[in-house]
Amino acid sequence: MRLKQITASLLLAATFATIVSAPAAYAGPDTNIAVIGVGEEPTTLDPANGLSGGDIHFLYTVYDRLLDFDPATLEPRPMLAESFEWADENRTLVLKLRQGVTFHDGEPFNAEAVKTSIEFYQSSGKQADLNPVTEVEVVDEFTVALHVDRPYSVLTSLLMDRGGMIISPKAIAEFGVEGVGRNPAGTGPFRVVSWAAGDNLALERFPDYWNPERIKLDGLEYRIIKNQTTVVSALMAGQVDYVMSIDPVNLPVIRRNPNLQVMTQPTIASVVIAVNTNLEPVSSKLVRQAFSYGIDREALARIAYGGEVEALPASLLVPPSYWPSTPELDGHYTYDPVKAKQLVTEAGYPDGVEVAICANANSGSPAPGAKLVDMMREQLRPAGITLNGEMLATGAACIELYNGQQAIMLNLAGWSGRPSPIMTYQQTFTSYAAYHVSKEPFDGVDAAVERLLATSDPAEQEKIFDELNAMWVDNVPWVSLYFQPRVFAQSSQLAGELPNLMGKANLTTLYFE
Amino acid sequence: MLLLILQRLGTIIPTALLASILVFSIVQLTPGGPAYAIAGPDATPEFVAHINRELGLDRPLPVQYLSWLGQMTEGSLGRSLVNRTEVTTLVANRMPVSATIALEALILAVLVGIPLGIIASVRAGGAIDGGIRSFTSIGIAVPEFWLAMLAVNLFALQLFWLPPTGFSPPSAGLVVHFKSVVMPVVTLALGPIAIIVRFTRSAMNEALSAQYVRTAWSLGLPAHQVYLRFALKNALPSIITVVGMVASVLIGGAVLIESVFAIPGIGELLVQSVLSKDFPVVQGVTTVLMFIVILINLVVDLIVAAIDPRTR
Repeated sequence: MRLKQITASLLLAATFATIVSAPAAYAGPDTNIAVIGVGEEPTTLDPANGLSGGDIHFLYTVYDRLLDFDPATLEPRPMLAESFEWADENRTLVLKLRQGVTFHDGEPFNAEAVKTSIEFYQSSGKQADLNPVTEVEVVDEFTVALHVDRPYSVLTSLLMDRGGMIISPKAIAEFGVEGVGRNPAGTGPFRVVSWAAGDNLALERFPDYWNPERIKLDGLEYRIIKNQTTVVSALMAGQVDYVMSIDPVNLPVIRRNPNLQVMTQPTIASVVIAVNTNLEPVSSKLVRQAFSYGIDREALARIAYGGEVEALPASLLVPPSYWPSTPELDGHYTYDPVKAKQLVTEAGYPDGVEVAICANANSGSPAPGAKLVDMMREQLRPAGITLNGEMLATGAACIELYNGQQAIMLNLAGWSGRPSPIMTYQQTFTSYAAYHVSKEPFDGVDAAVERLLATSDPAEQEKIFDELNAMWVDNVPWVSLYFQPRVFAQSSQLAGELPNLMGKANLTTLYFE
Repeated sequence: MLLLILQRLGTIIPTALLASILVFSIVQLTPGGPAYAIAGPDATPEFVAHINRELGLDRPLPVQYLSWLGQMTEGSLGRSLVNRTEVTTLVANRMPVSATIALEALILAVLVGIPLGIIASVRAGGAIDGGIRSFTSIGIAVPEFWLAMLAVNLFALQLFWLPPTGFSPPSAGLVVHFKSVVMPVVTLALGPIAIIVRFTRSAMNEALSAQYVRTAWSLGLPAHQVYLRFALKNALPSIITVVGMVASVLIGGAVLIESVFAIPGIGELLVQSVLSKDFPVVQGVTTVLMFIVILINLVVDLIVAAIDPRTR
C-alpha cells in the first residue's frame, strides 16, 4: 500500500514536471503571423451593414477602399481609384479605377462591382452618408461617375471610409444583408480563414493582392481577450505580439519589459462633455463658458493617463495638427477660476450654479469617469459651480439617460472623430446634428456648414473652418477636454504600422524585424 | 425511483420560469441598451430608436418577455441582439469548454478532497489535521481570481512554464491541453477541495464514533478496513451530496476564472452579454445553467438513493 502510494505520487510528479518543463513557445516571427490582442471582436465584417467604429480596423485588412487617406493629414489618396475629379459644378465625382484587381472570391474588380457595392451600401438602411448619391453611373469598365443631388464635398472623405470599401458582387448576391458579415470578400490584403465567435479571428495573406510589395506578413490572428490584465499577461508571455489598446495603468510594467514597446499616436478623437443646452443653467452661454474656464484641462489629461502619456488639452473639436484647426483658438480655454466666477455672476447666478454630469464609473474607455468628475468638482468649486456626478456602469447607460432628456445636462463622453471634418461639425454643432440633443440652433453655424459642403477648394474650406472654430469656443456647445492619443503596445520585433490621425489602427503593413 | 425523477422534473418548470422572469427584469431595468453594443457608444438617438424598433425592443416589457417565452416552447433560445447568432449555437460552441474545465476541477477536488478529509479525521486533533484545517481555511477564504492572478504572474510571467491565457481542447493533444488548463482548473478547484475536506472530515468523525465501528475495532479488523469499509461507506452519502453542491458552485466559479484566463467558455459569454444587455443570450445561458444545476441535484439524489437504502 505504502509503496504503491509512493510510486503513484512519483509518477504524478514526473508527469507534471514533463508538462511544465518545456518553455511555452508561441506565435511570433517564426510563423510570420502576427497575433493581435483585441478587447472586442468585430460586430460584423460587412462594411455596409455594420455601425460600430470598433470594426473599422478589421475592415481595413479585408477591404481596400476607393480612396485612401494620407496618414498625417487625412487628405485623399488613390487606392482602388487611381484618380478622382469633381465635375459638373461639384455635382459629379468621376473616379478612374485601378485595373487588374481581384476580389478574394476570384471576381474581377471593375465599375460594375463598384456600382453594386455602393448600391448595396445605400440600401442597407444602416448608413445614410451616401444617400445624396442619386446615381452610380458606369461610364466604362474602369470609370464610374457618382452623381449627387446637393453640394456634397464630404463625398471623397466618405470613400476613404466604410462607403468606399468595395464588396464582391458575388458575395452580395450569394450572402446578402444577413450573410456578408460572416462571409466577407473584399479586395484587401488579407482574407478571412476562420472566425470563432468571441474567441479568435484568423486571416491569411491574399495571394492575388494587387499591391503585394506592401504586405509582409503571412497572416494576422486576432485573439479576443476582454480583460485588460489578461491581455497584458498574454503580451508579456509572448502569446500575443500586439495589443490594440492599453489602459495607462498597465504602461509602467510594459515599459520595464525590454521585449516590448509602448506606442502612442496622436488622433482626432477627444474626450468631451456633451451639453444639453435646453436645461437650465447650462442653457446660458455664459455658464458654459464659465464651466470651460473653470476646469484645468492639463491636470485632467495628466490624471487620465497617469502622467504616462501626453494628451493635449482641447478647446476645439479638432486637434492642432489637423488642417481644419485654428491655431490661435487652440488654447483658448485655460484654467481661470476668477474669470469663471465672474461669468457665472454675469449670467445672473450670483450665488453660484449647480450642474449634473453623468459619467462611466469604470476606469476604462474613453476616460476614467469617476476620477475626472472628482477632480473637476474640486476645480469648479471656486468658480461657484457645484458639480453633481451620476456614475453608471457603462458609457452607454449615460448616453441613454442624457438622450432621454432627463435631468442629466452634461455627459462625459468620447468623440471618435469622423472621416471628414465637415461631418464632425455637421453632426455635433448644427441645428439638425444628431449629437446636439437640444437642437437649439447656434447663430451662423448651419449656413457655414452649407458653405463647406458646397466647395471642394481646400483654401476656401480652411477659412470657413476658422469661422466655425470661433463659433465653437464662443458658444461652447460641448466642453472639449483633451485629445486622446492612441496607446498600444507591441513586441519589439514588430514594426511597420503607419501612425494615422484617424486613430484607427491599420495593421496591413506590419512586419517582423 | 421513477416517482422521484418525475417529482424533480416537475419542479424544474416553475423554478426556471421564476428565475427567467428575475433575470429578464434585472437586465431590462438597467439603462444602456444593446443598441449601443451594436452601433457603438456614439450612436445617434435616432439610430438607437431605429435599432430598438427593428429588434422589437420598443414593445412593452411583458410582451417582449412573452414572445421570448413563446420561442422557447418551439425549442429556440432566440438570437443574440448584438451579432444575430442563434443562442443555441453560441451555447453549444462554448459549453464543451466550460464543461471540460468544471469537470476537471471537480475530479481534482474529489481526488484531493476526499483523501485529505479521511486523513484529517483519522489523525483528528494531531498536527496533520491542524495543517489540513489551516489549508481549508485558506482555500475557503482566498478569492479564486486573486489566486489566479498570482499564479499567472509566477508560472506564466516569471517562470514561463504555462501559457497565461487561452484554452486548448484535449483533441489538440493532452500535454497542450493540460498546460492550458492547469492554472484555471487548480485555482477553480481550491475552494471546492476545502469544502469537500471539511465535510468528509466531519462525516467520517461522526461515522467513526458509531457503535458498529467500535465493534469492528474490537473484532480486531485491520485499520484500513475499519476506515474504508465501515466508516467511509457510511459517510459517503453526505460526501456525495456535498460533491453535488460543489459541482453547481464550480459552474458559477467558471464565470470569473474564464475572464481572468481568457477562456472562451459560457461564463465569459454571460459576462459579455450582461454588459451589452443582450438579453436573449443572458436568458438562454442562465436557463441552460439552471437546467444543469437542477440536473446535477437530481443525479446526486439518485446516486445517494442507490447507495443508501435508508433514503429510498
